[in-house]
Amino acid sequence: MTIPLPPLPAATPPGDDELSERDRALVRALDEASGDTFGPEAERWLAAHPDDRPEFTGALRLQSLARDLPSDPTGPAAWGRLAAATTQADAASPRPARQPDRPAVRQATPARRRVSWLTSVVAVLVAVGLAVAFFGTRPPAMQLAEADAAGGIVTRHLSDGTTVRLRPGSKLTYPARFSGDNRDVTLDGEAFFEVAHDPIHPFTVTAGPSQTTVLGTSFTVATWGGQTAVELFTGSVSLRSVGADGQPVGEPVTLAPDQQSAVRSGTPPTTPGAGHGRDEALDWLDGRFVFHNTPLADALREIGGTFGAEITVSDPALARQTVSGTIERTTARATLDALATVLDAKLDTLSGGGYTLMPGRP
Amino acid sequence: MTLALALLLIALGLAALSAPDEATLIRQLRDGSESAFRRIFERDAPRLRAFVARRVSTDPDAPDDLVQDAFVRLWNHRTELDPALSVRAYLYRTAHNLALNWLRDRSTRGEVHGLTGVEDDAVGFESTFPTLAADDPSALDHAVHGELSAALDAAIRALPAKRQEVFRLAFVDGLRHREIAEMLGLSASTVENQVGAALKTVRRALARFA
Repeated sequence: MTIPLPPLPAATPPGDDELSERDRALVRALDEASGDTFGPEAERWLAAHPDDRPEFTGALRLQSLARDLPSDPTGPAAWGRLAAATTQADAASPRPARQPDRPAVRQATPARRRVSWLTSVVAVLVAVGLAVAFFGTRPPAMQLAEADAAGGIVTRHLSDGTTVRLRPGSKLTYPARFSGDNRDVTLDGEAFFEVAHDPIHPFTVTAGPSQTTVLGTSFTVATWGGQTAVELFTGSVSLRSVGADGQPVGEPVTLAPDQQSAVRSGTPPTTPGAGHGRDEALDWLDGRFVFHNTPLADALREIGGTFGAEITVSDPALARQTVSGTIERTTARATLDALATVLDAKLDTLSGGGYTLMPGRP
Repeated sequence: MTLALALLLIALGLAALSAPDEATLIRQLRDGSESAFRRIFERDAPRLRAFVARRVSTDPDAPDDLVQDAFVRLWNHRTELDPALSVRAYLYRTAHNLALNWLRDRSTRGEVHGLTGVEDDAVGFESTFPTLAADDPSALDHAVHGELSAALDAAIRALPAKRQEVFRLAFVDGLRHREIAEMLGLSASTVENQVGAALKTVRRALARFA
């Protein structure tokens, strides 16, 4: 490549920091230039000093050349790593353990990751099996996969490397392979998401009336009883409320770590406030229910959803009570017994296998 | 009929040729256009990564993470972008602050000493970039680009750290002087002086190509 550079100006002494008027004009011309074209300031200078044009043009060509220089001294491999980091599962291909002083961002602890990696292998095998069973005979046009955590917590690794842990009783619908500009999944119930970084493919969880859009982060989405609550742990998410017509309701909110916001059908997201904290929001990963002034009806939907049991409340006043506390998740019966004790209520088993809560001591 | 077809083809050709300008890109981004976001990512991420890597060199993962964070912030704050300013300036400033925070967090743990922040004097500035200019030019694949490019690259690397950083931001990364001044807390005339001095040195180093 030969780009003719004009002869240098008569040796300027390298007392560098003071620029001559012409040098200053040149520097400003380069600053103002757009691509290979000088701006009006520079053209004014050059009109008055036509002899400077070759030098100005040469410097501008050099600037264009500089803008095409490779950007990273370590070469394209580093960029490849970045691109890979944005699109790849950190769980599917465990990276070397992070240095201990790094802030614990976006990832579970190494120990948990090893465990989840193993379970992921199982989950992927199960997923493949299910996919073959469900979709084996269909044309591969719309490969939607479904994870249904009917019996226990289900961990899924999506094709982009995102890890989703589904709370029992929850259901996740997701494309077997993400394609296109967006990563869209639909959740019914509650799940903990660790979304693989990929800023150019936003990850959106649609849950009830809410849409949560993230670029790479960890958070929970819980949709029980007509309300969707989102709590963020790392990164940043934006949450919006979507009406029945698909149009946004109110302004979306952006959550900072350890904040939560909730969406009810037809209302804008609530102002972000302090969340429950990782331990409490992720109680279900440890086999517990944790409630904080939760309306009984919502708590029962959550419990019923977890165990797949129909639970009714006979008395409206009782249904309006709120519950707070932690209950071990063992069986539906034991959980409801514990709840009934707290509420001074009586538990009855229905003939169809469901339960009903009524006022009065057992 | 043929005329209409020809006009259509011309229109299509023009549409394909004209990349959206900065203001259009910002407008699209503000409206939540993911393709605009992707275009910005592809355009700016590699250089932004190099920019960050010059600041945080002790942890190989840090530049990637910080670049991700900068883009996440850009996306989350897209509606607040000022169409009169460049997205690139926002990204660099954000990444610069993230890198400073990262370094500060480290230094409070006693891992980085002598971090004094970016001030309008060379000593404070250079201490923020401990490894700048120490790169091995042979790491660059000279065969891939022309001899002049390689010489230009080597000449830029040979500049003193502070001058090199300012010069790179202006000459290579394409930030405006006022954006650089604002980001680094320098005066506009300091930026001009640094760029001007660096330009002289670089062109002197390239004299054999003249």
